[in-house]
Amino acid sequence: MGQLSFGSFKMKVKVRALFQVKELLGTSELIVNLNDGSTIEDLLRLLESRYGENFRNMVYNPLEGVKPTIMILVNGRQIQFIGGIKTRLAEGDTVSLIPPAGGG
Amino acid sequence: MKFKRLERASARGGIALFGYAGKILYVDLSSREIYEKELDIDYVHPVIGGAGLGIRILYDEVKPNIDPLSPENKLIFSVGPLVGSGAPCVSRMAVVAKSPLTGAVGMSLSGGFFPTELKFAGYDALVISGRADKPVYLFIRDDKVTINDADWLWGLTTFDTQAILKEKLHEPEAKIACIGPAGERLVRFACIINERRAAGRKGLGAVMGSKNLKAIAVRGTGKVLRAQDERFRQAVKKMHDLMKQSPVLYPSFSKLGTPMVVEHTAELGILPAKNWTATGAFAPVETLGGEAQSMYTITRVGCYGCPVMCGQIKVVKSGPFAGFLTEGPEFESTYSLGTMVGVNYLPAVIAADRLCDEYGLDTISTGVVIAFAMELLERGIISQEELDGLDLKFGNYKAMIEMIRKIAFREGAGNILAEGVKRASKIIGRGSERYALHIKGLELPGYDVRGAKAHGLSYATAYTGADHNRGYAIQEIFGVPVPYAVDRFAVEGKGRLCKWNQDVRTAVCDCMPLCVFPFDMGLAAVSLELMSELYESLTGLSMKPEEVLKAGERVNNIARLFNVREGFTRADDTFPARIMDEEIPAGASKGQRISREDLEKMLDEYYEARGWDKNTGIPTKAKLLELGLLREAAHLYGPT
Repeated sequence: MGQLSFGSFKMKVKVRALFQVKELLGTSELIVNLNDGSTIEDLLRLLESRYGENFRNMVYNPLEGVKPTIMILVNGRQIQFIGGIKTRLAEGDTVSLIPPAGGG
Repeated sequence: MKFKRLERASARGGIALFGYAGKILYVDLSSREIYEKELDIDYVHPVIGGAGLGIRILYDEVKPNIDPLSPENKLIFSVGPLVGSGAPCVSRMAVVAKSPLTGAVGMSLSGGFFPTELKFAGYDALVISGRADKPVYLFIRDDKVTINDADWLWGLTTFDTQAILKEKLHEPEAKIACIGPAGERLVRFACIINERRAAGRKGLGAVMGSKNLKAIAVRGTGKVLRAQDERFRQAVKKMHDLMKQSPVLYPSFSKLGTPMVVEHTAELGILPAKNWTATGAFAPVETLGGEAQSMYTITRVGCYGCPVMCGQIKVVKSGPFAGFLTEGPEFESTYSLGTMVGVNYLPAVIAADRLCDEYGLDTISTGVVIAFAMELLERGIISQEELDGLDLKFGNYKAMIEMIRKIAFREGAGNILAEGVKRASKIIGRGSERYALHIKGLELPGYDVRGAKAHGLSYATAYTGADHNRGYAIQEIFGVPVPYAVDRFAVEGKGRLCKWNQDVRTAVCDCMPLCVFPFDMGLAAVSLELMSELYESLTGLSMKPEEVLKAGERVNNIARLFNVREGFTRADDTFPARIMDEEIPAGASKGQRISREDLEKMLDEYYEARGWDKNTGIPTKAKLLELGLLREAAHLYGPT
C-alpha cells in the first residue's frame, strides 16, 4: 500500500483506484494525509501535483475539473450528489477513483 | 419442400423488400408440417423485429394458460432487421416462448453466428410448435428444410452435438443451436447453446427439450438487401467512429471483457455474495476480477461482424481443473458460480462455467439455486444427507461442481434444484422460501440492487422476471449520464427512469437488435438517432428516433398483456424479502435496502409513467390505443 503525505496533517483518507487509475497511481490503495476540513478538490490537487500530466489527462485537471468519464465516490456516494468537488472529507473516508467500465 | 432464395423472395409484387428477409418459417413437430408465411410489414414494423416480433407472435399464437412444456407452447427464434445488414455488433437473435420457469414471457438473446446464418437462409423468424414423437433435429439449408431423426444425438453435450452434427451433414460452415442433457431432462433453467453462446435464461432449453428437438442446423447463403446503400454506409461509419471514441470499449473492454465488472461492482459494493448475505464483505477481486481472469485468457473471440471481440477463451493450465477451457466466464457467471456460492478459486469457476455450457444449463440460475441450497444447509434447514451426502457449504467448489452434474441429470437432490429456487423452496418447505432469491420465478442476476434502485425496479417489473438486461440502469451502475445522471441510492425519479431504460433497451438492443455493450459504452446518447438512420436507410421505411423509442414501449406493453393474461398483477412486481428487509452488510453500499414503502413509491411512479393502472398494473385502454394496439385493447376491454 502506498503512503502519500501532505505537510504534517493528521486526517487520513483512503484512496482506492481501479484499472488505468490504479496503474497511474502504482497501487490500488493509498492513504493520504490531509488538513482537517479538506475537500475532494484539495485531494485531487494534491494527487495532481504528485502524478502530473497523466493524472490531469485521466482524472482531474484544475482548469477543466473532473473528467466526465471518471466516477468519484466518497464512501460509495457519487460526489455530484453530495457536493461535487467541494465535498468535505472526514477522517477514515474512502474515496474511489473509477475509470469507465462496461459489460455484464 | 421448395422455397425461394432470399433475394428473389424479397421481391413482392415488384416492390423489393429491404432489410427484412421477408419470411417466417413455421415448423410443427407434431404433424411434421413445414411452411412459410410472408412477413407482414404492417405487423412487424411497429415492433421492429427480434424480440418484438417474437413476443408479438407469442401473444397472438399461444393460447392462454397452457403448460409451457406442452406441445402448445411455441419456441420462436427471431432475428431483427439489422442482422446480416453489414452493421457491426448486430448478430443477435431473440429466443421467445412461454417460460417454464416463470409462466411469463420467456425471452433470451444470444449472439454468435447462428443469428446471421438464419437471416442469410432467408428468415426473419423460425416458429416451432408441437412435439416430435421421438428426438429430431431440424436442418435448414436456404430453401430446403427437413426434420430428421436425432436418436443418435440424444444424450450428447452441446459442444459434441454441434461438432458431430456438422460432420454428419458434411456442412462445416453450418451453425447449430442445440440443447444438452439438461434440456432433454426438462431442467427448468436449461438453456440453448449456439457455438459457445447461449440463449441462457428462462428455461428455453427445456421448451426445446419438451418438443424432442435436439438441434437446429442452419446454412444460409443469401444476403440482405439495403434500400439506401450509401446512406446506410454513412450510418455504419458513424457507428464505428462513435465506438472508437468510447472511453472504454477499446482497449479496456475489448481486452478484459465483461469480467471487468467484477472490480467495478465490488467497488460500488453491489457484487452480491453468498446468496446475498455477504455483499460487500466477500468480494475477491484479486482472484476473480477481470484483471486476474485475463491471466487465463489465451485468445479473444467475437460474434459475426464484431470488431470489439469481448469473448475471452480461458484455459486452466494447472491444478485440479487443468485442461478446462471455456469462453467466459462472463461477469454474470463469475457472480453466480463464484461470489454467490462463496467460491474465490477461478479455475473452479472456469470449470463450472464450461460444465454448465456442456450440459446446457443457465449459469445464473444454476449458481443461484446452488447458493440457495448452501444457505439452507448452513442454517440447518436441510441436512447433508438430503443433499446426497454432499457438504454443500459456501466455498466448497468440489461439491458445487458435483451438484451441477446432478442438476443437469436430475439426480437425487439435483432433481429438486432442477425446478429452480421458487419451486424447490415450495417442495422443501420449512420456511426455505425466505432464502429463495427470485422474481416471478427467475433467479436474481449479479447486481445487488439494494445499492442501485432503478436497476432494482427493472428487476421487479421486467416482463421476464429478475433480468439485468431488460432495463439496465447504466446511470447507476456506470455513471453514464444518459438521459441524465442519478444518485443510485435515491428512490425519487426511478420509476420514470426505469421506463426509459426498459423502452430504449428493448427497441435498440432487443428488437433491432444491437449488442448491449456498444450501446452501454458509447452509443446510448445517440442510439435512437443512430437506429433511426440505420433502420430507415436499410429498410426504406420511415422510423424517426421517437418512433424507435415508441416501438420499445409497444413491445413492453404487448409483453405485459401476455403476462396479464397469464394472471400476473402488480403483486408480482416485487422483491424477495431479503432485498426489502435486510441491509447490505458491508462495503460501499453498506446499509442500503429497498423497503416495501420505497418499492411501492417507485411502482406508483413507474405505472404512472407507463400509463398502467396503479392498482392492478394492467395497461390502460388509453395507453393501448395511443400505441396503436387496437386489437390488443379489444381483447382486454372489448371492442371500441
